[in-house]
Amino acid sequence: MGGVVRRTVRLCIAAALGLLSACEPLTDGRLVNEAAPPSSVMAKAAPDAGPALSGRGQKIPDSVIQTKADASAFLRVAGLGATEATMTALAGTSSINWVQQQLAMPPRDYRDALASRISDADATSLQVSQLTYETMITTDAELRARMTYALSQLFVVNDSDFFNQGYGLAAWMDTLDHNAFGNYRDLMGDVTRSPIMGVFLTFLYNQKGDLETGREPDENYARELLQLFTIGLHELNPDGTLKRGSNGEPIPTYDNEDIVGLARVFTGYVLAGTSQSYNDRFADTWERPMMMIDSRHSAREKSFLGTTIAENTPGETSIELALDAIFEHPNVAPFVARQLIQRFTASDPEPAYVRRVAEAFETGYFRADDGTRFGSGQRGDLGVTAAAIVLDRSVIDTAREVREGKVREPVLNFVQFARAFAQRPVNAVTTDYTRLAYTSDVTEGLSQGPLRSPSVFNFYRPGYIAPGTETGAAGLTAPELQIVNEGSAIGYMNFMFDFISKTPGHWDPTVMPDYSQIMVLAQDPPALVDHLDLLLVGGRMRAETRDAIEAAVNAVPVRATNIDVDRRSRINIALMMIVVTAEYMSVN
Amino acid sequence: MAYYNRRLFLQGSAAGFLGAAGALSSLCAPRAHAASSNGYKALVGIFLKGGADMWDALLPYDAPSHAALSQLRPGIIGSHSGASSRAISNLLPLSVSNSASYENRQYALAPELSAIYPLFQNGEAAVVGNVGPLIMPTDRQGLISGTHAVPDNLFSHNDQQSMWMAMETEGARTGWGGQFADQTLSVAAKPEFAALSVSSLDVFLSGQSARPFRIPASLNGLDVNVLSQTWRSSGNSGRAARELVEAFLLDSPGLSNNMFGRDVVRARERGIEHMRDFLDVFADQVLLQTTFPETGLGRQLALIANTINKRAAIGNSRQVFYASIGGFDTHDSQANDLPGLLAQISDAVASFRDAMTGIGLWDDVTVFTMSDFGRTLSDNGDGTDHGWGNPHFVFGGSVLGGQHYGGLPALDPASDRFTADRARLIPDVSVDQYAATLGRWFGLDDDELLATLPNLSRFEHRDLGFLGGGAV
Repeated sequence: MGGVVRRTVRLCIAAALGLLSACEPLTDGRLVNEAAPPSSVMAKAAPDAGPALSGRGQKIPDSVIQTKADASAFLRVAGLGATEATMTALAGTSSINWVQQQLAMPPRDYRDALASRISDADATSLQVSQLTYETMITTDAELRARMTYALSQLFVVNDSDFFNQGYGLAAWMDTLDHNAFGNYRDLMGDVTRSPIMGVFLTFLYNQKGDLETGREPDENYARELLQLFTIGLHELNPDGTLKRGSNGEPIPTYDNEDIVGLARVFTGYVLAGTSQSYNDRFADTWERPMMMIDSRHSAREKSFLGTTIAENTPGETSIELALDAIFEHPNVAPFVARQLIQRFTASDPEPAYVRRVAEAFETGYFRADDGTRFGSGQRGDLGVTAAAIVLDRSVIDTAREVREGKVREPVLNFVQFARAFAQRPVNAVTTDYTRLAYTSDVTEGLSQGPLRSPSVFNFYRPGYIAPGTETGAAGLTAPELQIVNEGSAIGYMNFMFDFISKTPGHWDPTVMPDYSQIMVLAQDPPALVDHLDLLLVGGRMRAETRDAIEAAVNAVPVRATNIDVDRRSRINIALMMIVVTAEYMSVN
Repeated sequence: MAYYNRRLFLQGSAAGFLGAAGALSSLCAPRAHAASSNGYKALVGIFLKGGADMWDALLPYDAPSHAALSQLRPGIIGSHSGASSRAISNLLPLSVSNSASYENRQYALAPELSAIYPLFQNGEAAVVGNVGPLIMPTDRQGLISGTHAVPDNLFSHNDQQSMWMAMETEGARTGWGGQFADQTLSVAAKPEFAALSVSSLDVFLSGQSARPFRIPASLNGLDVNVLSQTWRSSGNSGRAARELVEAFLLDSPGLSNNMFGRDVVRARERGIEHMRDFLDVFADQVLLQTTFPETGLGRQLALIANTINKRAAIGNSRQVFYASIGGFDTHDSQANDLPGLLAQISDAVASFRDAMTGIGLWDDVTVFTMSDFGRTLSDNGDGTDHGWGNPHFVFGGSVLGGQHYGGLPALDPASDRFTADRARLIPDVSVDQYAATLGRWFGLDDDELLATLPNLSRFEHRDLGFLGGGAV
């Protein structure tokens, strides 16, 4: 059933409960005091939008992927985009099986992958960017890579602080990648001990306070850990909407005294390893957890979020107690769930969707529509959370509402093209400067790149509502529009065209396109567009788009004397037009 | 100094009550509506991202005040150690006519601001002290008792950036720069160039109708490379293909059934169209000869200066510009990191001033700083943490220099101008007042300002006076 019906039902219930007066859009566009509908009204009722029926009239579970087109569409949302091989393999099987297989795939080991190709002396942050792209373009473990990229936008660091720490930055990617299907609490611990985060949020060498001089501990990590990594600023309902106090106002999760108290916890860390010098890139210092020196750790009582850690508690014990207390906060599940959904499937997820995913996070279980149960039963299981996000009924329903959907991230727009057409093998990692070393420039790049966010607030904010847009007028959050806008449109087109049209001799030889499988199709414009429609937008191309692309392709005649050149021109035109369409740049 | 008077506030009238802004003229000059003003005026906002510690740019100069700051910041002023750049002897003192309004405390600039020091000395620049987002005037007691409304999510970067730009926390859709530009659209020859950014398209420049244009980093423009292809075809067919692609990029047929997809397509269509209009303006390739520093902000202000120089070709009599520079979240290494950033601002603004003076426009341009928040006056070893109120700088030929504006309280954390912990300054004047002063000079009238700046009505002075306007 499409979301239009669901939404209408909800409003009616709200009205019946006398809540309509409270149903005013907030600044974040959500409805206040939205009454969650009882599960019975959520049941599929509209026949035109019900589940598909097989020839014998039996219900086919939504999770069954029947066609290559549906497989391609699913891989755009849940993975990194189809290839001929992956969509063929997935068609006729089940999205549930796919997720199970994906969850079983091992991590990448970025640090080792980098070390096998570039010496410690030569490794820089640029190769980590190249390696991350290479991984996303080539990996079979696309759900993990997608999750890792999502987590890198939640636990944000910026690589410009670590130009010479290539191995250290690769180890940071491993921190995210190894925990991508692990437990959120473990991830919090690994992040807190990472020297990369220690430098980025300035708590490496953070000293205890000094009553005599008035020196106080650095509050940076304490504040951002709460605001950005775990609980956020305001108390949340299990569906991610704001709780409101008796005065109708949002309820802050913490105040400054909590920050001052928690800041004492994150004192005492120094670099471990043989070297303690920031600039010594030949040491393994940056690949190892920071080391706690108790004499530098605050011995004072630490009070925050209703928890008190007694005075004279040793450093590592304080860290564990503090992270436990934060992790227990009821906000963590909806806070993390909503942001991960935004990275995968929906720019402004329905509260009911957030609730379902948060429940999976909270309980450590998720039951798919064929009864398959995912999970460890441990709160904070990120594998279960990923399964709940991509197997949610709102994702696999065929009938979609305009409100559902997402502006796709520019990095993922590029990665999908490259997965489909990059010449194998892909070796993007080089000490030479290449475009994939740095893609975050607005006028010459994608406005985005792995580990390239300008600040800990990521490329965009989860609550961003784009001024002067249709989604903005409707009050919908659309974080990605913070970087996908008038100012970045030409940079994106030029970046994509540079790769689409690359020929041997290009200054950047990494990720060359290989169109050998479709050159013959270029002779037949409708067949070419059919194929690209299937592969790149899951057969969802609108008729007007198709007509326009076919017309432009047709305008280039294929001359007998220049068959390859002219066919290639046709492919360049078709691809360039597709990658700027609504169908390609958004998911629905 | 007098601050908030609750009784007067509750009466709904604070007329006649001299507030925090110090000595203000009582003259009230009538102002023209922005839309009907003649001549050219531009506002240039520079956002210092991360929360700039402007109390390490403007420093106390008299010995007792300087000693008070040194005592609060042993790690910072101390770590400039030995020959500290913040030693009194290194500072650039500001002489002003209204020290008496600040209990005769003296202030000075950090030495790396030497390039803009002459502007302060010549009366082309001024300090506006202790500005920050406020809902209403308040003090420590007001915060503790909870009787005063204060902005949500204080000390949070993204929310306070948004408060500065738009008087709302994250999720705001209209900023005051864009709303000022809104008032000029009806007479703008090219409405798409009423609000211009040389940085990201932040909410500051988004109005109800006005939308920010992002000036390309190279004024030679940004070509859409796919459209310069000939497709290596014979005859006219290549051109036909190019025209079909061009038509598609500029106006894609039909509408996506997805709202997010529609927004993306419109952004691309407008992006190309406006870029082409902009390149037409620079078709003669004539650029200013002023040398700007090869820094991020230097390049940004050069773009703004060159765009202002093309005001006749654009045909708008009012423009709002936005630049930004990051790196100010100095939780550590402040003594090492901040001076370079301050020098970058100083050198870029000085060049910008030279460029404007060179074309006779310095009286028609006002440059002002903004930042997430000020920082704790007490240090954390070698840095500072998130605060609230902050001094800011304004520059321009119309700035009435030679005096300070706003509040410059004694740096005594025990006073009611500070929060109870970590010596965070509570603002004396609101962003609304700061913006209103700029807006009035730009040409907005009182009604327009009150409609744009939601908290303005709760403050007695709607003009801080630094642009020569009287107290309103």
